[in-house]
Amino acid sequence: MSRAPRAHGADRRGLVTYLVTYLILLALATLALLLSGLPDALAVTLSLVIAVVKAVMVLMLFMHLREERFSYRYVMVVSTLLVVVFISLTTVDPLSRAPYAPTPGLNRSYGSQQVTP
Amino acid sequence: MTLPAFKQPTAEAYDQAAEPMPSYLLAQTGFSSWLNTRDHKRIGVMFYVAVLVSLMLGGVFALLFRLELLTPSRTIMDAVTYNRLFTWHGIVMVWLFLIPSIPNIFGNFILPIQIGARDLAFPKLNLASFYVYLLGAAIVLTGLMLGGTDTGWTFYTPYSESTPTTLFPVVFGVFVLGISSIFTGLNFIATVHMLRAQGLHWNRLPLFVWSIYATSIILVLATPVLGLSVILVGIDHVFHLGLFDPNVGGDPVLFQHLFWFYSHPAVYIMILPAMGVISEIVPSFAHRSPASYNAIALSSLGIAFIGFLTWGHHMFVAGISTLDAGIFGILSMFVAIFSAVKVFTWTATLYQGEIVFSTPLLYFFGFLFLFIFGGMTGVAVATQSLDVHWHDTYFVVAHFHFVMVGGSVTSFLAAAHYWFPKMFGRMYSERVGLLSATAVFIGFVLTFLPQFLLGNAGMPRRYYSYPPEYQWLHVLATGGAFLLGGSVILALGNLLVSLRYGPPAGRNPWDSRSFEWLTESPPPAHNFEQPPQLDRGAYDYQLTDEEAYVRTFPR
Amino acid sequence: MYEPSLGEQFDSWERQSDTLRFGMWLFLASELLLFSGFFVLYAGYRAEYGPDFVQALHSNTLAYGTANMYVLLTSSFTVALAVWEIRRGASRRAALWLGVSALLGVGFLGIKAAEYAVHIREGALPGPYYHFHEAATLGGNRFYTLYWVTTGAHAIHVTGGIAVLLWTALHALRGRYTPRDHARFENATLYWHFVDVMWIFIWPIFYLA
Repeated sequence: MSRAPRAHGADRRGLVTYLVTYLILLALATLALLLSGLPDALAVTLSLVIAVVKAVMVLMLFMHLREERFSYRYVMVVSTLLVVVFISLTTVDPLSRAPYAPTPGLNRSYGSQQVTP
Repeated sequence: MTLPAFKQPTAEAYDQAAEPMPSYLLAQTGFSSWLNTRDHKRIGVMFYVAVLVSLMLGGVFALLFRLELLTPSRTIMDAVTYNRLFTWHGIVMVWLFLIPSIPNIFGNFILPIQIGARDLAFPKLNLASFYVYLLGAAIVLTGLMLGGTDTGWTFYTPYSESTPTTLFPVVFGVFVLGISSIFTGLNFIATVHMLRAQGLHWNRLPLFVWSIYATSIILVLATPVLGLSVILVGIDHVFHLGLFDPNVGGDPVLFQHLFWFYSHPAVYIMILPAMGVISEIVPSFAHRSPASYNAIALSSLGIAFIGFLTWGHHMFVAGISTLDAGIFGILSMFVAIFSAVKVFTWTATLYQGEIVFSTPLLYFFGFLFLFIFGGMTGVAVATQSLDVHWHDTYFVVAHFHFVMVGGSVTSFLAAAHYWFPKMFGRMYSERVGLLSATAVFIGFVLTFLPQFLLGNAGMPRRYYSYPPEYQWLHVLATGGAFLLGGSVILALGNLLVSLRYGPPAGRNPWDSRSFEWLTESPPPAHNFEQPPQLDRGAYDYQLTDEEAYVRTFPR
Repeated sequence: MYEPSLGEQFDSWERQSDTLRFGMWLFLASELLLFSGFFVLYAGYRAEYGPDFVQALHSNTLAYGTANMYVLLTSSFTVALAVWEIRRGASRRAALWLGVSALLGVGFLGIKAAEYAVHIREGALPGPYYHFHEAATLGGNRFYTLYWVTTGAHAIHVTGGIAVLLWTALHALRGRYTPRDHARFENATLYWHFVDVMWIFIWPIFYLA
């Protein structure tokens, strides 16, 4: 499969793409900052969504994944899915453990102990 | 090279051609030409030496603690030494032997030839992988010499964060070994994607290549998590950060999630190449194409995929939630489907084949029995309700040795014999080959079958002492272990002696149609004089050897 | 003058370039999985400690972390400019942009160092050394322990990335890269972008929410 050297990345249009991408990234970061004051669940979700959008932009545009053959993108897609599975299946565990009743006589409960140096 | 005019080159013509290229063994001489080589075949041979040394070392550790287990209480060592020995046995066998074994020796040597390439995609990275392996091994062994750790090869926290034994060099060595693994996997994936010969479509790829490809995906994606988890334990041990220490709010189970996320796919790193070897041997000795090429190729990918989703079944009784345990239990069942597909396909391939009985095929029969047994007991321990009884007993030990030794090591020995003529241009003694294959099988069964009984009767693993009623099973296992060790040495000794005294082997002693048998035995430094242009698959036994040659090197 | 060479395992310059870049993407995949362990620990401990964990998050040094986000995004932009220049054969300008990016990377590390000093002063240290009064809980302990190991690992990668950028810039100045054969240059920039992408995720989860 022969392709000419990537001249299309070397012209003015490529430069503009980079600049616009950069400005959008800055804007998204600022947006995430502003939204961080929202209630927890919403703030977490939004900041992660914005992070994903930023990451995809960096991958596709700055790292030229958009121009590459499918198998390169495939590498990132598979890895990302694997990471999502890893985080999900692990987090299910602590999220769904049945907490034990505190042992009577012990005046500390798991999760809110004051730590002394 | 001149050939008769207007005639298609035949296999004989190639054999008789003037000035055959020197083999890779002789192409350059001198120590430094080996140490500085880029040739995947030489690197494979160097790995061969290092990996076999590791096998011997791990075996010695096992024999030592099996001696200890001959009597219910102290036999030849104290409990602390015993704890270290089973730890070192696990670490050396898993990371210095099993993980690199088939991929770094036979993957390195055979894969490029099987896809018609002149070398791997990144030859210098390949050499780096070897030196990083040596470095990691040296660091681990230094750690062992400084006393070595006693945590078991699984480094469970919080004990591993606080054990008074030498931990950091051991885990750091494992981290470095992981880097070698990642380099290797990366190299293989890039090679298979980018360096296939003309005409070698994905659906014509030799099955060994498919298995190495699937293995490499695991190597690249799972190993980093191992690296992270062991280095965090090491840092914790030195700096006491308490990442997994309950005293400061740590959760030891989270370490286990991290550790097993790698270590479960790791077992597929150990078995997939072994299955790939079998997938080459069976068609060669049945002299027919696989009963279903797609079944074997796709099930390799299937095993790699599902293998990533099942790690929690090592943690059923560790304190994970019932929900998570249930999810992992269900997912774990699916692996057996892909393994079973392979077993049925190999067996079906023998049917109506023109079977030639030989040492590699004898190893296959041993593999078949032991892998099925081991795999099915795997399904058994993946059943939560049963695992509650068997977890951390000899039952699990027996299960994984059935698949890792009965499966992977048997297949390793099969590969060692199958590709010996190609790699070294000599033939081994068939009688000693058959004898040692039989002895390996018997020694193995004697060692590990009693361990199923031990485990089911309640004997915990890693225990130094035990009630006297278990002794007879331990004695059987120790006896078997020595027989197994002796048989492996006999098998390897046969090959070692044949390097010097074996009769010269031809280009294609097995009359196989796989592509590596088209090159000389041993192959020349650059594998092929002219790049292959393939007009056939790797298992086209309906063609004669000559026809197969012509459809690979058209003129 | 540097003589470009075509490996004997490749049948064309393009195949060599493509393979080098593919290999880099595979390496980045392995790096992603390396960092994923930190994200898993984060998710696990956050699930276990809930409000205490989040409270410690809100007590983190937001200004420093955010400044670093902008610094890295900018450095990704300048690195992309470097690639744009090298594809046109403008080696010197490409090296210059890499130098700017490396400088921004050093800036990142400087801000990080100042930030760590604040944490040390406040007692927000990992594990048993923790004595941060604003979040004196086990959850806070877990948060900051994770914060130190995660950002520490990231900082190590930034340092490595700076070294790689400078090395590549040096080779660019020596004329090693041409429009036809500059895969290694692009690979170096891919690594830098990856370091940026990791911070794109580390920043929100350790500073924002």
